[in-house]
Amino acid sequence: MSEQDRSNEALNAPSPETEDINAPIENNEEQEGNGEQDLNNNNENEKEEKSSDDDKSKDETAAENGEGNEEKTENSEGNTENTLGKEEKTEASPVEPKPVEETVKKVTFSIPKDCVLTETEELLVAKTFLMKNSKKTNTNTYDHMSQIIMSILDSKIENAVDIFETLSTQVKKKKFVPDSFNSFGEFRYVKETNTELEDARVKIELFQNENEEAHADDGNEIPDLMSLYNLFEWAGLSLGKEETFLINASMQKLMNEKGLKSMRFWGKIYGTIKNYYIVEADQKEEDDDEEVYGDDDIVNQEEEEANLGDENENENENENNDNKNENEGDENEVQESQIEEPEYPVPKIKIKKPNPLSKEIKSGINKYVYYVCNYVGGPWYRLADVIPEKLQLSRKIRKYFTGELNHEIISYPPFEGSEAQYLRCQIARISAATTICPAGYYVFDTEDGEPEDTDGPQPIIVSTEYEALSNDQLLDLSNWVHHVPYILPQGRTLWENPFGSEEDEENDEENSEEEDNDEENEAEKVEPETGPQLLSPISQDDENDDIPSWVSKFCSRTLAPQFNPVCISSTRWPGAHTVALSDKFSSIYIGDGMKCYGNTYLSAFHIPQPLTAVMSEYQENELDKEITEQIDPTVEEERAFEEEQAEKLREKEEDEEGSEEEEEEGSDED
Amino acid sequence: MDDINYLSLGGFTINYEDRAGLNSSLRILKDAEKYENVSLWGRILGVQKDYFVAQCWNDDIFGRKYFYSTDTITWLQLPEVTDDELKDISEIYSRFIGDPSYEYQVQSSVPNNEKEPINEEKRLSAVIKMINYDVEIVPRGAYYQDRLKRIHFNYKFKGLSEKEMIDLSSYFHFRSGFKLSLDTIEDRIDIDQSIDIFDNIEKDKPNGIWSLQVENGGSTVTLRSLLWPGYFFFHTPRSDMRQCKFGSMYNGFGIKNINLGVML
Repeated sequence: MSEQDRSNEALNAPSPETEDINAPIENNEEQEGNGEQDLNNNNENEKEEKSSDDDKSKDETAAENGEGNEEKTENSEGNTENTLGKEEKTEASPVEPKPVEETVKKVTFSIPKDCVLTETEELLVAKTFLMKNSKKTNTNTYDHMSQIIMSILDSKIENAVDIFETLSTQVKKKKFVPDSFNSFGEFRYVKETNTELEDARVKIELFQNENEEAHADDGNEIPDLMSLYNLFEWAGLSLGKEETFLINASMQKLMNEKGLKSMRFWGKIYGTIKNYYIVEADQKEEDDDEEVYGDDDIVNQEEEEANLGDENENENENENNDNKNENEGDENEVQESQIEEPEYPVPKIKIKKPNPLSKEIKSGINKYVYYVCNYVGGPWYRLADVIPEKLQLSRKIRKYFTGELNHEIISYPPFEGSEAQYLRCQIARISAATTICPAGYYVFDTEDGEPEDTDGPQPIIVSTEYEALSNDQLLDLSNWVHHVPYILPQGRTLWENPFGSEEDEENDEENSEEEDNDEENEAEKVEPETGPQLLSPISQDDENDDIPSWVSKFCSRTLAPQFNPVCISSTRWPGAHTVALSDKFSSIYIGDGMKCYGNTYLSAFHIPQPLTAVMSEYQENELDKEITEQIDPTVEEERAFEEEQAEKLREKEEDEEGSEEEEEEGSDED
Repeated sequence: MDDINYLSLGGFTINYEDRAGLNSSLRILKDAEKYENVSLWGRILGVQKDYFVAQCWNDDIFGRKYFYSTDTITWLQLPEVTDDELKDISEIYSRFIGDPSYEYQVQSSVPNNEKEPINEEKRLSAVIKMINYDVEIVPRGAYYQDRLKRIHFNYKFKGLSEKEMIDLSSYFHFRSGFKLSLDTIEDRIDIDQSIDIFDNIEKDKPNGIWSLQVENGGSTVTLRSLLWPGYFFFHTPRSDMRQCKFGSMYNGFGIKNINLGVML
């Protein structure tokens, strides 16, 4: 520091003299005004005067001045240097020196004459003046000078004096911040709107949430997705390890938010615009859980309902539709007729509407609820329960998913629903067809009753005596069973007579009496639809044309059998796989949600349901029957007619008489 | 082979055993067959076994030779297919079995004219040919044409910009025989004769035949062909955090989606 000061001052040698002369003059003026003065002051002033001759002595005085306060030494330095700067900058800003004197004088005038100014007070006066901000640039000399000095000290330039102007401009340049609106040459920074950044933020949230709930483990079942991931990877299935981890975190978050009992990553369905990640969850049931979880559960339920309300409108709509279907099946039809109510007479389409089948609630296909999200970390949407009719329709159509839950499915036969419903149907179908487990893992719950008593599937529970099968055994398809009930053609797992209980409610205007009679007749004929029993081995499944519907193989060719995962894939639902290794097994679906219809040339085509017969033309009333249609002439007839014409022409040529009449007749015939 | 992590965006991957096997065996294949470039083309899933398919080429990228393997170790060259056979094969819609000698009976259009059955090896070759023609794509600018009309890989390709990434017109069918059509002025605005050397996929019919998605928050773009389900293409442009990468792999059943018109 000191060396530098000296060097600086040595370099500045000529200029300090002028500066120092100025300062004493001011002092002298004040001194003249003040008759009485302390000796000390005089001495100091004298010293300052002397310092103009000798730099080193001036340093000492500065040091003396600063004895009381270290800051003041800086100040003094700053002051001197400031003035230095001004002296040198006279060329750049010639206006400045004059105001210095004027304002100083003003300051001195404001001080009573008999007041004795100490050295420090004088410094303060000078300092306050120097710290006065310029109206133009909102900076002041004091700060500017101190910054210059700081920069000199930092950079330790040898010839700071020579380039002092440059240093000053540099410092000034640094101060230029393009934030004010009017500043010249301002660059406006456009805030980066990067989707990548948003994505990162979404993902970070997952971590934050996880940390909070690390201990919130109240017996919820969640699979160890990461260890399953390794199994899936062996089978050549992967969503990416990183992504799998995030899915896991996201699932935990969902579970804690919604208070779900158990959860399973169901799979991923690719859409054309977005993809669906699907989670299968088991809700806490009120009846069962009240005993176990007590008050907490009720709170959870309430929260869930509240959450449901927050979910997207589509869901609500679905829910509403469902409720309508449930409670008053007729209302649905009435609604439709209202929508279709024409302003002009149009024949009513007489399509016999089957009675709505009651939805299975918390059982069968709707045993689990499904949550989907479009991207990892995105919001989870709950899918509405399956409506049997929709499921029937979903079997007849084949559409790619778009990834938009609200997307309307346009198809024939008309699905009349959003993609969310279609997705739910496909999920149900895939689950029912491809969710399998090793034989013996589940057993029938015998406590509830004898299997003979119930028509439908008996409840199954995880067997406590289950012993893991060896991998060689797992390779055998007969050791694998379905544990999700088969969906009947009706769209339900439990058969319900569509004409039985609801016959009384058939008071629709649209249904004529004849139809009612028909239905009654039909109802007598209908036999319950049956499907394979629950827990039937998958080896009994029908063949998919000429290839078996299930294929099992070891994932590796070289690993020892006890470490070699077994992959069982469905050929009927490409993308559905179950991977197992000793006691661990899991099913996953990664695909586009389409069933493989067959393997032969013909069956590979999706043959849409044939269109219904075209209805006969509508006739407003019997009187309009005058307008009739003729059958178009065939080619032969046309030719015959042309020949006739030609013959007539020949006749005309032969007999010129009466030709005009004949032509007229001919044109009439046309 | 370093791009396997991207494949998981398409829902599939190659397990470690196969990776290890492929890494070694492809290197040996390259040496044994004296090719300059060898890469993995894809995997066709059979009922019993899967076929791994490798492509090899020297100077002419369109004169690629294909090899297949069911165990990632031994590679066999695929036979060439004639046009007639190609036509017959395009009418087979069953699953691959996984046995190269499996024979398919071909339905002949003319009665009393029994055609020779086609074995799976030939079908594999034909399917690869069809997939390559129909759906193999590269991003715009990844290949360029020099004055002698030769096509080279562009080593300075930095990747597509954010805007181009989501535009189908910046992806090209990677097939030979493209003739630049400059019919209208509109066509000529953005044309760079050295880069625009292929058909772009924007004009593919029907609309929606490609499913373009942005993954990883915009850093990666993936394209899946719905015409040939299983064809997966990814591209990630160069940024300060990653290298420019693009590539594609077929991982499917080798069956064309003939119901596409209904399903969209």
